[in-house]
Amino acid sequence: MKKSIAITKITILSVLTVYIVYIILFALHHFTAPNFEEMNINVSSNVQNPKIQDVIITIPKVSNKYYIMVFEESGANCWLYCSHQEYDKHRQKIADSFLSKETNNYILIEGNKKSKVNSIQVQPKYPLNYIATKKNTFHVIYITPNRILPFSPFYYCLHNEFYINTLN
Amino acid sequence: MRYIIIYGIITLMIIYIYTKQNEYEKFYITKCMSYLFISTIHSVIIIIEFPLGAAIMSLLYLADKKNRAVKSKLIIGGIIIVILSVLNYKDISDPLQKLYLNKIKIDAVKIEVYTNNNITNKYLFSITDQKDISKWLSTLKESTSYSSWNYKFIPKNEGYMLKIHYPSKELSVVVTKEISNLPNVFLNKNDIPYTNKAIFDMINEYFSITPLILQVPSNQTEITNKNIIENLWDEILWNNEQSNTDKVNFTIKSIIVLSNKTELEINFSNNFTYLKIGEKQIVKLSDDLSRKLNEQYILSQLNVVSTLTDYTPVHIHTPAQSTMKYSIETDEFGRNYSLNVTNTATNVKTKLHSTSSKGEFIELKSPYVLLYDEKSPDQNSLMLINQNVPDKHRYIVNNKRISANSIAICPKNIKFTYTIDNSNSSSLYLVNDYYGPPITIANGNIQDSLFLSDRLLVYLINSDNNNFLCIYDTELNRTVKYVTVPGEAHFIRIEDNNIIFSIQKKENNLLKEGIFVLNTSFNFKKID
Repeated sequence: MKKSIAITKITILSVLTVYIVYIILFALHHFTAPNFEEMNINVSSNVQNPKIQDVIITIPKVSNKYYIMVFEESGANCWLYCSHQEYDKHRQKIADSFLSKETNNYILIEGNKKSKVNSIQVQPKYPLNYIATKKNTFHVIYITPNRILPFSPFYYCLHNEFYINTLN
Repeated sequence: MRYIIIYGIITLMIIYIYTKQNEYEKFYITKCMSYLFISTIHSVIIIIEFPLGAAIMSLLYLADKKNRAVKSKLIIGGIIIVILSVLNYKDISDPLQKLYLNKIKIDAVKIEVYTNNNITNKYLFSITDQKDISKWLSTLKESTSYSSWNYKFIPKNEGYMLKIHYPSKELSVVVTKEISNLPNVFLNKNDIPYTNKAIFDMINEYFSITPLILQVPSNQTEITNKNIIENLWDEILWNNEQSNTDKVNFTIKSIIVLSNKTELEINFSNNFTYLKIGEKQIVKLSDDLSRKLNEQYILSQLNVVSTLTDYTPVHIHTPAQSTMKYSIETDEFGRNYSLNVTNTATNVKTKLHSTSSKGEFIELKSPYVLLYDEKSPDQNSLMLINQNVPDKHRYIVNNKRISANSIAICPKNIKFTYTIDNSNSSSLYLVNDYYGPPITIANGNIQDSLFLSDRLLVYLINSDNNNFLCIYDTELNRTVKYVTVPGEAHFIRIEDNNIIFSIQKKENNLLKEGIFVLNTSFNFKKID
């Protein structure tokens, strides 16, 4: 009986120690950053329907799973995302971490090392002045999860911007 | 995550209860469990989370005489569980980040400002005045901590890097544009994140250098389009630098004149794909900007002339081939005018429709003809007549102000456009289907239109004091290209699906003019 209690106590203490070490290692992520390769973002009008803009986002070097989130500037909600879909809880949680409450429209793509090239399509909701000089600004967040143990990952996020001209 | 530790503590406490009983006590296990679980109860008292249960059990502990060592540890265990339940990462990181922000002391010697880039951060300016240094650093110290347990931002979007110099050390801060819900200030090498609404605009205000003109001295060309020059300046500052460009020839030497009365020498490659500053800084321009710069470079090559040429408006693309000859003639009394058609094969003349003395006709593809009539300056009409059924004519427009010179016909003589002048502006219409409504192409200050091909229509429009040459695709039903014209454009003629046009400009008492050609691939070329 005493032996089993001692074993249980040692087991729990070991698990707690490993867990506390894991938390410390997790927290250390805040003080490091991987070497990110720059994203390549290319915007062009869709050949079949010029109102739609094709945005190709290429990640030059991918080690494993990643996410790409795209949303327009300051939750203006002036653009439709043609490849928008319903997201599972996990992706919804990722989006809620980064987006403000006003931002309803966004795209969250999940990729892996086999899919370095990602394409999305956006379309203006309202007719645009074709000689407008204002830039339509979009934000791109490239998110890479980093796991130590099979618990929640730590995400490194690279923030970038691109612009859409009304005519290309 | 913390709940694993809490459950671990609870399990350890329970084992402790069973193994550390020193003296016999009635209901020992029940009492110990009560000590443990009541001690985990907490409440909010005056905004602070307070371990109320532990406080109550501490009072009971004072009166309790048995197994005091175990019970005191259970109360402490309860307090630890309360702390773990209540404490957030933000509660720990915020005060630590605020302390870290104190590394920014006001007694800096100098602040250097660079662009924030991947390979080489470009030096912009320095601040050495103590008052300005204090103002900047005070603004930075007002930054709010940005806490996130499970993610970290690395700043790569357009922004500035500040190097704050002290006598014995240097601190670096990256500042980017403020975006809702995201950090925009990153302190030191670890990029510790903060948010600050004021600092980015303050730096922009300080660094208020704007580009004015891009000059190419070799052919005395100047590009003055504000939108294009400012985009160029942004890309010079913030585009990533390139390596492996040994095979690129930089043949277009130019100067960008800045608002602080300085000039920067820039060399461009052909078609403005790359630019080079100095010996090593090479930047690849975006495709859109390269294209616009190339177009502006071509269209800005105007020659000084003694007088500007007056061009007659051109609207008939290809004369229709037919045995029918149209004419506007008076009757035998010389009073009433009418549009007539004569079949040259049979010599039979037929009256199609009456018109005024100012009537004009434009032949479309047989058997159609367009009759323009002007009853008064503000009352014009455009009528479509089928010579086989002249009494079934159709008004395309009636009693509106249309200029006959504004009518343009496509090469196959089927589609046509016209412009209606409204009081403050004008509207350009396309007739594609003779029995359907005209299509509105553009509204504004329409100056002229001409068909480049059966599919493509080119029109000139002035908007907000800028002249634009626009190309409309009649199959896609939208404008597919616009180009800023550095002057006033006039269509001259059409040759083999190319539009020849001129650009004229008055500048500093000089008259300048250039002749250019636009083809169906949307390419411009200067004609000598």
